[in-house]
Amino acid sequence: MATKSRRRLPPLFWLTLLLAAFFLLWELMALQGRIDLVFFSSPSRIWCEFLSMLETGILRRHLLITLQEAGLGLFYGSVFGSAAGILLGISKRVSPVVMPLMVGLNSVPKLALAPLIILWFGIGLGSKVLIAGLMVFFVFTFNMYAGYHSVDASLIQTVRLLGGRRRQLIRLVIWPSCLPWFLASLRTGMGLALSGAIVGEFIGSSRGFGWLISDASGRYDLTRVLCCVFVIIVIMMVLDALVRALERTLLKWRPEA
Amino acid sequence: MTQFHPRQRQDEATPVLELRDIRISYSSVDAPPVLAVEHLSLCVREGEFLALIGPSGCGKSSTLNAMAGLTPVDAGEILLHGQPVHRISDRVGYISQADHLLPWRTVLDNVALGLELRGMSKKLRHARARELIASMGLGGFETNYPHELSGGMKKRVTIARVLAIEPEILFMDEPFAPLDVFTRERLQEDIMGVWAATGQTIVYVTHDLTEAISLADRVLLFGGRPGQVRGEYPVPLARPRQVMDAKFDDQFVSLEKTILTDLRAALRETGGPGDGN
Repeated sequence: MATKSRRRLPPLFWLTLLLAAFFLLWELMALQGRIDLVFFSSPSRIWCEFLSMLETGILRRHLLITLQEAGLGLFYGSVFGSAAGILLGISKRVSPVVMPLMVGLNSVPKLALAPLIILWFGIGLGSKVLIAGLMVFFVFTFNMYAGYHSVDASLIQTVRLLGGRRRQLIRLVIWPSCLPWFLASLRTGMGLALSGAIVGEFIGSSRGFGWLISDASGRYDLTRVLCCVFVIIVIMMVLDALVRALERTLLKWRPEA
Repeated sequence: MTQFHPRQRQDEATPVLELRDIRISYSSVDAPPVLAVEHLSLCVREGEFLALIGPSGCGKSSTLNAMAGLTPVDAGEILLHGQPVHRISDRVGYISQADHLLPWRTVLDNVALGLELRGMSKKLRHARARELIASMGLGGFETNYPHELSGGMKKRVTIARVLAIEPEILFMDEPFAPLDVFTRERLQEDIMGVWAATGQTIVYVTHDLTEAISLADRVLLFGGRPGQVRGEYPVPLARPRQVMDAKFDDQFVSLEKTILTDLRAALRETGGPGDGN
């Protein structure tokens, strides 16, 4: 355990050092007037903006809306995407027909469809959830499809020899084999769902983080825009750390590589 | 030879498993079908330890897989307690070279797997699994994952897992082949202990003649292509046996000589070492 914690400390240390150096350099250049404050702002201004947005409750209100949209999109996208991936893996007859279609559909830039979706489903919550869900759906479909094919056939045979029925095989062999793929998809999907929701708000909405950014950039309030960007970055890093912790718990049966 | 093994006499009449004139072949898309076994008949008696030996490619593993219902037969029939075996049967136990433990389950949950599949409650199946784990000398490793165990320990977990479902017959296909000599001998002792304690019927495939004679009541020699039974040899060694010392017995040596001569003849017929089966 001692060696483990010693190994885990340095990355965080280096990350902090790197960020501190970056913000320090930025602040110094702003102070010396080498960069234009209107276009680039400065860390101290962004920090003050952050505190004032926190105080007025703007940040919390819009953030909650965006997180709700992204969360729902991630939920539906992962459930339907995983189901589609596993079912396509199981059925040898349907997958040759549907898989090429999936590949084709995935090549469509989903964000480019955002205006269309907002036109169809309105500027409310639903359209953002749909955009976020579409962003992650294909990630889960393709990963779970690959995950299904990575299932060790001899494990299936072993469980059948011990008396396993078809439905038991899904729960006892196929799902646990696919779990690492699911968690990997979750890590990718979180970012995609969040950007899907934000772009959706950017295009057509009267609230949420995307709207906040769009509104601020319309007023050339670069400080607020950058503040929002940093908030998103930090949130993503925290969420990713949470999923990695989840991975460590759920996949503790794996030999440490 | 019955006087050396009193159990055998009464069991002569009741075969657990019967193979009647079976044929097994493997077809592939771009090659003519390969006949693995033809006109093969044999009987497995209640409570006996039967060893199948023979050179590679003589159909002994194919026969074992057919008995377990893993490979379908083209002709003939396989009867388990008089009922035909058509597909994978959950009334038999099967142990191969590989362990195939579920890597995400602890030792305890791996051993309890077969009982869980039969709908036994968690409390009961864990209690049963704990007993088996202890009897295989793995007490204290209940919460470990398979990757944390040695090859021999994994093998013991596999054996405990199969014994948990109390199979009517236990098939073993070169189960200890990948292990080192010392681990192998200890596991052979263990399996002898299990056999003595439970009266479990065991069919054991091996290409190691010493292993076959030291463990079995009866040895069947396979040979030829397609494979057939070339000889039947009751093993006249007393029970209980010490696996490690059995090979120094005079009767052991003379039986080994007899089988070895026939095995060489079979090997010439089969056309040298095959490409596995």
